[in-house]
Amino acid sequence: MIAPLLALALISAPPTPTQAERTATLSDALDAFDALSAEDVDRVAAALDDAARGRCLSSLASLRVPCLQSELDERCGEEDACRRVGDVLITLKLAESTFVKTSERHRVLREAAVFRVGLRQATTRAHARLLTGLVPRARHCAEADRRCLATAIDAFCVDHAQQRGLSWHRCAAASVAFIGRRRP
Amino acid sequence: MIGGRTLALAAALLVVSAASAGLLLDGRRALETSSGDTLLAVGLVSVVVGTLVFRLFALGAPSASCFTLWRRGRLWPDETPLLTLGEHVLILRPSAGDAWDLSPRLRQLIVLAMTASLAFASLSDRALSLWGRAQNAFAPGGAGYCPADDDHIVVTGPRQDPGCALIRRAHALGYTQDLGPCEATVQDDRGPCRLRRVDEPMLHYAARRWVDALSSWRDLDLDADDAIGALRERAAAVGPSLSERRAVVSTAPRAAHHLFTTLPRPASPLLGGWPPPRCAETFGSLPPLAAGSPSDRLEHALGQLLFELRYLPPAADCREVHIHWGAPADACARAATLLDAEAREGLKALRQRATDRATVRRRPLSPLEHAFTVQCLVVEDEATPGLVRQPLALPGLSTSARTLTLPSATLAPGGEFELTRRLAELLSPGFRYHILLSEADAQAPRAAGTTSARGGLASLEVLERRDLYLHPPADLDDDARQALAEVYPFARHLANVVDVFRHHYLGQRGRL
Repeated sequence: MIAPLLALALISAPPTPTQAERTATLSDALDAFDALSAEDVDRVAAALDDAARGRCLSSLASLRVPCLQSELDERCGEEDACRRVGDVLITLKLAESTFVKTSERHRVLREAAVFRVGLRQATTRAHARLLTGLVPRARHCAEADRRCLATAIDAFCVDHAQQRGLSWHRCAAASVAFIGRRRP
Repeated sequence: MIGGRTLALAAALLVVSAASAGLLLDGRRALETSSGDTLLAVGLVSVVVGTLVFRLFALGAPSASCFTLWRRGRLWPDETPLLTLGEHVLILRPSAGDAWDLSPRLRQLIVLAMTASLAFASLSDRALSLWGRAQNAFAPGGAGYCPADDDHIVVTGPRQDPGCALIRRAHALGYTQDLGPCEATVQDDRGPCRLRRVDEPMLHYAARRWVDALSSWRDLDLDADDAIGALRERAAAVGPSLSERRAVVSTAPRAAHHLFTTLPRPASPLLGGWPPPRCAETFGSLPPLAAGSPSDRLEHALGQLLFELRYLPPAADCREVHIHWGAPADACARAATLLDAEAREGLKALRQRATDRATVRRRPLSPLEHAFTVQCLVVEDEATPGLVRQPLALPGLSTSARTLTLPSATLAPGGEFELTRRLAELLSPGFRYHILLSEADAQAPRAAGTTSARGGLASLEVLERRDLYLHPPADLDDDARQALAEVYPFARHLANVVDVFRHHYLGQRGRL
């Protein structure tokens, strides 16, 4: 019974969102960050942090993703903005080691008074460095024009994925979270 | 207006101060640790040299030229403009005795200060010690005379200890014939003296020095046979060494890998034909997925595996890989006849280079099988992928040729992942890309089925652990393929495939 399922799974097509779908996803995520207060975003992030270190702790990313998503479902219920923000935060949680390398984590561990706070600051710095490349591309976008910003983020991250090696979804999540958390 | 000597002296003082400060970073400490001898030497050198410089260059005399800052205007013939500073111009003109100069005493003081600081920066206890020992190196060679004979005769008197007193008493009474060890001895500690004798004529001494010199040359310990043998060996290595160096300098190819394929030469080559004129530019950074004809796709996959500089080190140079387009399906069986004169010349050059290297480095001859290879890629419509090996005998080389058969779908859109993997297996014998070499997570495909339906960014996380080079996607339409090319983490999976392949390839194939 398991073998046919596995064989079916092996040939299942990978998720391949088109450019329009990607832009819509990013635009909705930016809107979701606008809709939630900073405290609510922090609360979702803290809940996902706890779950990632607790019941969703696993060396297999394929197990951690559905676990964190189910945690998000429990926390957010039907609230769409919460789920979209949580989706971005889950991606960033799984990409933590990509943005903050082991040596940097060791430095934070040595120097920061509270490791989680130091790690969050290091992650934010890494996201800020990434976004320096996005700024020229998004210069023409009005601040409230989330669609334009989402298109710029998508194009920037496609280039980044092909040239620099950072996956599109991780690049996009970092961009959205950095912009979304820094609202006027 | 300021006198030329004063200005030059001020500039020299600045330069010397800066140089001394650089040489002597911690002057106070150096002053405390210097010995009295060193300080005395510094003082003497600065006074003597400083006074000499002051006198020789007549630094105390009035300046013959002076520098003046004038407002712009007409210049006299003997005035030379040096620098324009806005409305003013700096000119150099002869001094009529009206130039301002420092007093001669002050100038002498400045010169002494400069020489003192230079001497202090350059002289130290160690330097003085080295100078003191340097005189030993200039010891007189042959200008001395042999000492007088008596200078080297040491007379040891009779021993005075109580035992000897008894023996001397016995000798005096006639009981013993000699004193034995108690007798006085005469020692001459002279070695052969080759200096001039006191009574030796000058011409005789000169002739004796010539004879000594000639005999010392004659006594050189030369084994003629060995020397000639060594010279012959070195002479024999000159040719190969020059040839080897010429090959290195001209960056001659260090390998020749021939790929015969049934695919036609691309009509409008994606990469500008083969071999590309500028390998590094062409293959510096390729798009992750190929486009164009099957031949273009083959070039693209080959470029990713062997040459792309995004993944280091490259496994080969473009000039070392030769694609023979439009070859028959049995090309590998007939490779011995299909290889043209250029290919045979390449093999000959490689063999010569291997021989040269072996001669120069005195090592066994490197085998050519890994540097000269023949592969074939046969593309058929409904073929089953397969790899066969056939023996290949070439002049001076006995090796084997490998043939990979692929269905044409592999070189169509969507077949890129399969093509890359199969081509890697063809190029590097024994290479097989499997899950233990990949970045794939065995659970990832199942997770893909559960998360992709949900959408969102996190669902794409499954791509990080899904290696399409292991399990290529089936039947992607153009839009899905384009979308996949944009979001799939090629930098993770393709980089891994290329890294693993090149590691294996350089152990199996590669270059001289």
